[in-house]
Amino acid sequence: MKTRSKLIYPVLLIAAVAVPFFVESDYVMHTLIMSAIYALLTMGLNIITGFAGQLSLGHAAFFGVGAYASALLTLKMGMNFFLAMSCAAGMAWVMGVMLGFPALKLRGPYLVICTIGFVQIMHEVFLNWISLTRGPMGIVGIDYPPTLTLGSWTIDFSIPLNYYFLVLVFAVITFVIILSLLNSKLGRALKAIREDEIAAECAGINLTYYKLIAFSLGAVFAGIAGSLYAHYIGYISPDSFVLLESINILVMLVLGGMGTMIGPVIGAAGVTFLLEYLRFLAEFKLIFYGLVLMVVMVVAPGGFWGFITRLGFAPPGSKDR
Amino acid sequence: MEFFQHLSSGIVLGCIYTLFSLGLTLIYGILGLVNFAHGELYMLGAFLALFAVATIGMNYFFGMIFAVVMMAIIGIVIERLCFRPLRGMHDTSVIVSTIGLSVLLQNLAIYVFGADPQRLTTDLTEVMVRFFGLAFSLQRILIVVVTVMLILLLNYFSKNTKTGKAMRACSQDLTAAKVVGININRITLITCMVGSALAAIGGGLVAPLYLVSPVMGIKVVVKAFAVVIIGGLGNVPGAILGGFLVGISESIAAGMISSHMRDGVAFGILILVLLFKPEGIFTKRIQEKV
Amino acid sequence: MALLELQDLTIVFGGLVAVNEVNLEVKKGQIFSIIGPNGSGKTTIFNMISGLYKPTRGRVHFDGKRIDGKRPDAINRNKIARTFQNIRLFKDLTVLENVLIGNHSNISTSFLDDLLHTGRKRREEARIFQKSKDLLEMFDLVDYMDNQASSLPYGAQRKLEIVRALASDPTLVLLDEPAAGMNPNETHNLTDLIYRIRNELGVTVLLVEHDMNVVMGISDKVAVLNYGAKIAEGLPKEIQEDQSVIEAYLGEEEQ
Repeated sequence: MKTRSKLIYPVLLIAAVAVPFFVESDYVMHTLIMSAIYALLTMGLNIITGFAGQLSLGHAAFFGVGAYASALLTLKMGMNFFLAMSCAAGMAWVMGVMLGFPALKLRGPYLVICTIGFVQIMHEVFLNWISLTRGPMGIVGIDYPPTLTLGSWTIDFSIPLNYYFLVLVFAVITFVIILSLLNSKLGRALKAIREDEIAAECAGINLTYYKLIAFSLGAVFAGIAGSLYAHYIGYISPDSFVLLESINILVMLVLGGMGTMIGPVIGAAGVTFLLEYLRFLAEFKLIFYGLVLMVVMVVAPGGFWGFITRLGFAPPGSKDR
Repeated sequence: MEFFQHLSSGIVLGCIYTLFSLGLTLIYGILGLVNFAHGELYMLGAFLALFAVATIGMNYFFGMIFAVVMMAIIGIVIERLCFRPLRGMHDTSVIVSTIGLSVLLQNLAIYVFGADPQRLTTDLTEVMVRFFGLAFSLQRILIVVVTVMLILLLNYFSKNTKTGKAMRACSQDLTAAKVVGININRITLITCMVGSALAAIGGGLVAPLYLVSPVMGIKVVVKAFAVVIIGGLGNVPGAILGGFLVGISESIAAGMISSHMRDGVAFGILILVLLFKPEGIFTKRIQEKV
Repeated sequence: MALLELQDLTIVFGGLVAVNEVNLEVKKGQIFSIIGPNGSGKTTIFNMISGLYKPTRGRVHFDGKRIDGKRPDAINRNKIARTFQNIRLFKDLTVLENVLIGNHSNISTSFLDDLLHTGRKRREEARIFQKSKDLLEMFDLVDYMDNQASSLPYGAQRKLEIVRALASDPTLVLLDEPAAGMNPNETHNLTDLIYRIRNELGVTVLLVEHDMNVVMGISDKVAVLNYGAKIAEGLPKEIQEDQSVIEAYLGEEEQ
């Protein structure tokens, strides 16, 4: 890792902390918050797809599980927000293990199809388990996390700026954890699996264990994002957690740079802002998406960040073979 | 009696799945890539037929020919612009790229044709034929007839023509094919043409039976993937057998057990296959060379 | 006592008997070579030892324990490492990372250690960093440390694979055609390295090789396979003069 790149992290952090103070409009604030939530989602997918090389289109399912779990636990059981979020993360973890199992036997396109099936099945569950999720009507009235009092400081989360920092805290913690993971036994094992499963196995890496870890870890971060999403928007419905959402997150990851640290963050923020500000593009939004995916994979498979730094997982074949 | 009605529906359904899956499996077998946009080719075929009949005023027969020709051309364009640059690339890049193509085509269709489902009416849907106490619309008979003809045609083509044999060679070993002088570019082009045309025929034949909408592709594509995996990726006879297996099972289960089972059957078979014989029911397992 | 023992090792693929009742003993500290025409089952034997294939019949014993049928990662933990006939490096990772991964079985950090960057993780990382660097130094690859593995010249890639295997502190290392594609200079260098692996690192070497100069020059013992069965075994000199071996390689005189 070049030293120049290492400087980016504190710079990015300072920017993330400072920017909201210069923001006047509620609209931009909202976009910032959504960017941060998507950054969490994308970082999670990066573990599964970027580091471990398991292409997954099931990520929206984990997002949904986190959102529904957190919403229901606080609304129906009066649980404390942070406890509910922890439970939601735990449930997402379990879901991650479940999706991880097919990954043990399937590769490439077979696996992708399986993950598509998974997200569609979960969508059906959200839609049809009416007694629990209220089906297509969704869940309304999800409250903000309760106001925190720390000494003489009170933090009211209904204020957008404060909510932003709440999400930012989780995003930063996630970032730091993944950074630690990258240069560790676990991180290297994931990358080895991505590069060559047979060589990885013969080097002592237990494929089952590490694939399941990749999926469940990625799922946990998505679950946390789901919880933060539900308590921010205040309303969730099954239609937010569909295949298209998974594709959304994949676009952010691909555009930003799979397998890099900064890539997911840039991708999430970039795409979120781009779409908000190119509202007039809304009609063409998905046409744009499609084109982007196609072009990037051929021209710069390492995404924006991979392209700039020549780091990260640029799939073999993107260089001259 | 009811059983035979369902069986015959199953055969028709099987034909549709087969037409669809043939293109998909051909493209995988020869180009080595899973075309996630295949559903959109099917959908575009249906829309082109609709366009020809409803807007231009052609009759159904010529409308179908129009659709097939146009889709073959679109297939060539896609091969050049999308597939060729992806050649030799990592699985992930290819999958993401074809997903992109799928999203692109779907939304282009929504933009051009509108999101609402539309109806394609032809004479054939109205006319019913009675056969041993069972009733079929001519359209359904047409589907079966065309499918059988195409299967026979493809079989003859792949065994008796130079191009057909070249295609089979490519699906077995691309490098060896290159070495014996087969023009890979030409073969991949033809494969895409044929694959797209097959999808178009499928779409055009089905259009009068169901509604035509930009999302009709996704509904079938998941089933088609199931069929292709069940038969074995790249395995042409497997796709045909798989198509009928799924179509018939689905119809019978939906008709005789419960209509809710409709999608479940295909998924059920798929899950069983993935668990026990992921290389496909009809394919021999190839031991990966270490 | 033998370090590695193959007893009646057999594997059948479909109708083909790829390895036929092979019996072999490798003693600790030996450099043992397996040779034979292409397709005679040499790599298949490696695959069975390293857990990638399950034998149809027969057993593999290592250090007194039975290991046939164990998964490859368990075999690695049992201190057997290997290289591959067609190089299987982690192409997009750096040379150093490839070797660091080789250490996998010996790193004692836990899941939480890795996530939370604890003191133990930092210590372990520092330890294997130094160890990997030393190994790379020994093989003259340390200058390439931060380069991408796929950017290395072919001979260096083969060496890197060996370094990666050695990083797991194996008792036995399986080298599958390590000299393939090397020029005479590199081959000579390789021969030296194999000696050093045995003499300095104390690792027993089981070698599959086609290059007869390497095999005959370096081996303590040689076994010859043909059509999956062992047809000869002995000292290099004995093998060179063995009639059945000559026939296997050159074919029958008559036809």
